[in-house]
Amino acid sequence: MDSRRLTVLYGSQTGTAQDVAERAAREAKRRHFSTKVLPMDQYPIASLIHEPVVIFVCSTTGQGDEPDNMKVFWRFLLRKNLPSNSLCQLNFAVLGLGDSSYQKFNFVAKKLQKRLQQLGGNPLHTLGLADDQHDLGPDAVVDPWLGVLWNKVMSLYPLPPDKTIISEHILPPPRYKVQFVDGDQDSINGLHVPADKTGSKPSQNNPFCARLVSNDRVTAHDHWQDVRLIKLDVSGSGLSHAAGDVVMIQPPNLPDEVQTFIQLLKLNPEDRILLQQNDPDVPLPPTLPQPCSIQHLVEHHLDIHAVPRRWFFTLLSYFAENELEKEKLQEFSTAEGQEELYAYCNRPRRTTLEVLQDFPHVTNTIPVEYLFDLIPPVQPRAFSIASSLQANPHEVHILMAVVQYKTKLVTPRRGLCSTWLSALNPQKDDVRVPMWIRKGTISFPKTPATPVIMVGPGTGLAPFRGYIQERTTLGITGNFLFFGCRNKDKDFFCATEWQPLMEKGLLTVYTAFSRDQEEKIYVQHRIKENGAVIWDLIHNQEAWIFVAGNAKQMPTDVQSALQSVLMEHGNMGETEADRYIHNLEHRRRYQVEAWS
Amino acid sequence: MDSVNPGQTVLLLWGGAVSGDMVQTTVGNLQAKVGEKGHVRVEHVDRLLLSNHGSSTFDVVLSGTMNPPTTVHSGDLLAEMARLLKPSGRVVVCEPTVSTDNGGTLRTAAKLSSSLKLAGLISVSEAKEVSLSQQEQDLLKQALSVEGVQVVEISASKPSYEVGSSAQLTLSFAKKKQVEKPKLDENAAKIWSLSAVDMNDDDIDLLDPDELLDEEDMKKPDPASLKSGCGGDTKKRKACKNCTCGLAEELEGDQTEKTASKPATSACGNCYLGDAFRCASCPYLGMPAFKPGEKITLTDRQLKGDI
Repeated sequence: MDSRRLTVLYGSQTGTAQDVAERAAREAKRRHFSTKVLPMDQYPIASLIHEPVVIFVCSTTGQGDEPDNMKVFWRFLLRKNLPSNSLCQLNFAVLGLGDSSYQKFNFVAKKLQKRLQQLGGNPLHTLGLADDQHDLGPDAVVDPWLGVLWNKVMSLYPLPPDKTIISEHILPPPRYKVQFVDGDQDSINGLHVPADKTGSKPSQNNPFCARLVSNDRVTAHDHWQDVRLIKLDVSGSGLSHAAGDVVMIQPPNLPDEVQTFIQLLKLNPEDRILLQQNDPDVPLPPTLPQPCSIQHLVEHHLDIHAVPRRWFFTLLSYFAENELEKEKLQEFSTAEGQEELYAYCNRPRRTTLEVLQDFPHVTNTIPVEYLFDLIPPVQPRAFSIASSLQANPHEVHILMAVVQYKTKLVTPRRGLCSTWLSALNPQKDDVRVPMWIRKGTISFPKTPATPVIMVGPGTGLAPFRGYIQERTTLGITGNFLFFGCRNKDKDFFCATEWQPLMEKGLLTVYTAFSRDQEEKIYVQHRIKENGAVIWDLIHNQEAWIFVAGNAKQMPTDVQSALQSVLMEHGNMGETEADRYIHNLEHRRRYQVEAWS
Repeated sequence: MDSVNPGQTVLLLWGGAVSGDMVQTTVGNLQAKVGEKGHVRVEHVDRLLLSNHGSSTFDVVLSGTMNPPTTVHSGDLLAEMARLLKPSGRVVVCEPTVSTDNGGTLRTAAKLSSSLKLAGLISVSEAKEVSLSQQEQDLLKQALSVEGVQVVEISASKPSYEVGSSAQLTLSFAKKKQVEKPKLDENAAKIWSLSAVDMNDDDIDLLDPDELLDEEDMKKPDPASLKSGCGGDTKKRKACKNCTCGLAEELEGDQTEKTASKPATSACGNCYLGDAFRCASCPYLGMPAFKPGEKITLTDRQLKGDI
């Protein structure tokens, strides 16, 4: 069965593409393919030339950008030196997930398809373009696309006639075999024990537990938004970072939710389990200790706070015996039921724990080994590093807004990581924050003489605070910051840090306080107002422009403002200005880092 | 079932049209037969090859012995069953067969016999006809869509010595499709592999990804294609299963008037169940499930949220 191999690679920002990728992998397994499914960046790209069949699932995010977990893979594919027949052995298909209300609808999938063909790959199927704007959501495209794909794949790789496709109505085996072990057993002969990782660089599989130095609120106490400046001590970690880099934080679950979950499933937190692989293509979770206590499992591993996906409901339906529950779960598993599932689950951001509370009968019967199939591991969260080692050696600062908002659910929604971090008190407890560093996608200019224009409203300020610290500590001038927030005396954080720098002529700050007057003033207005300065910087001084922040519209509005500056002060027509910006982008002189 | 003795380790394979109840009953009977010292394992026949059990671990393997059996045992499957058997272990296989080979999915009893032999099993018994009840026959016809099917039972044994390494028998009942793969260009492969060694691409020349797209790619989908085609209200208001508040009738009767005021108390009695089961006009929407009759107040915590 060696030739019957299939790989599913995905680029997913919020987990939707990952969900679809895992569905495709299950369908492949039912057709007796030995199947691997993983993010593109975790796949050893050198092996791509030897793969017989690969299904790519990728969403388009932000401003037509590829998701974080396929950035490295995609950049590799773009290398000019790759021969055009490199992928001649590869049969592939690309399924894109996007939203046609955006200009750059499914650009990532479209570009991937083209590039794979350019490199000699053989498309098995037409490019799939799933669309959030469809009445029935992405599944309106995904369902039929997969159907046709399998027909094509099966005609190329048919099953021997005595084998049949495994029905989707039977419960698949769990990904791990789970054994309960006695209290004193610490290791079992021949079973997996996590390798000794001391001495290796901190990473997702081996986070560094940084000491929390301080956790201070930087917005006024009567302001609706709680923003924190969090300082971590990374001495002894061997970690260093450059401007634009990102710190990854691995949060545990919130204590009240952990307790509720354990009680709801009638688990004993002190029980310990040992895991074994049940599928050679699915490795054991790398950071789970073996054996592992139920307390640890629920506190650190299972993402009970996440919004469950379609497969969660399908899998749960296999265990349901209560008629009402079984029917509802099955309904949520059908294509027709997706609209209602979105309304029940996704739109109000209902957590896995909350869903289980709505289905008490089946929750009582979930076998422990299937917990790993139902509930994915907690994801780390990324924050732009808001400090520079030049100014703050051995420290990593984070500028973070505590995420809290209301949906139609009575209990307000809480961001897992921000809620956890905001509750930590360095004075009271010796708290450790599991973290590691990831190279950022922002690249700052290498030459000090290059002036830099930074547009960072709200927490978009984070990467720029770090960069400004670096440059000003080294005495480099030419730093222009455009900062926007709501009220000068409520959320103009870091204001006191800029004062001395401005006095020394190292920094120029333009502010926009949107709610301090009747009409709204945003950063883009300030950009237009200072068009002459900006034009001079860009055109005569080779300035680089950076935009960072958290808003759907902001980057587009800023780009429009820049365009008008070019048109007015550079005497350009609309198309010419557009091309000018596009040129800057290509030369990395115009970079946008926007998060949702 | 005469081949099962106390103290033995038995593997029971089931598939297709067999009910969960029957599996449970059969397992119970087997467990009684093998007693405390024995062991019964159950596996879905399609999953066997993925399960990767240890070699020579079972005294008895039973496949398709529960009615009605629908599995046609492939060469791979029989070889696997043979591998799992201890030396001198016994296998009992029941399979739907046809009287003459007609090129369909089912085969003759004679072919099944040969397959067992080719899988390395010996002492292959005569094919014994298995009589099915009318209900079982109907289920079988439904599952296979074939007429004139006869279920047979054949038993066989594994030789008493361990046969060398068990090679996978590639018995194909159809010509294997040779997928012609173009040969990898050695130079291209080298360049690709070398390039992959260095993943730091700050200084490497990259294509402009925007140049990959043409006019066609810039087009957005036709808005008409995004409709679900059912034409009705996209924001459907749902009534609960046993609606007593009148919403179900209202929706059925296609009224255009909305319910004037929300009832302060539940009319249908389903409110305690949780949002998944509540109707669109439920006053408790957005709140967690509760016990029927329980008094619900919002706690401070729910109102304020956690900091």
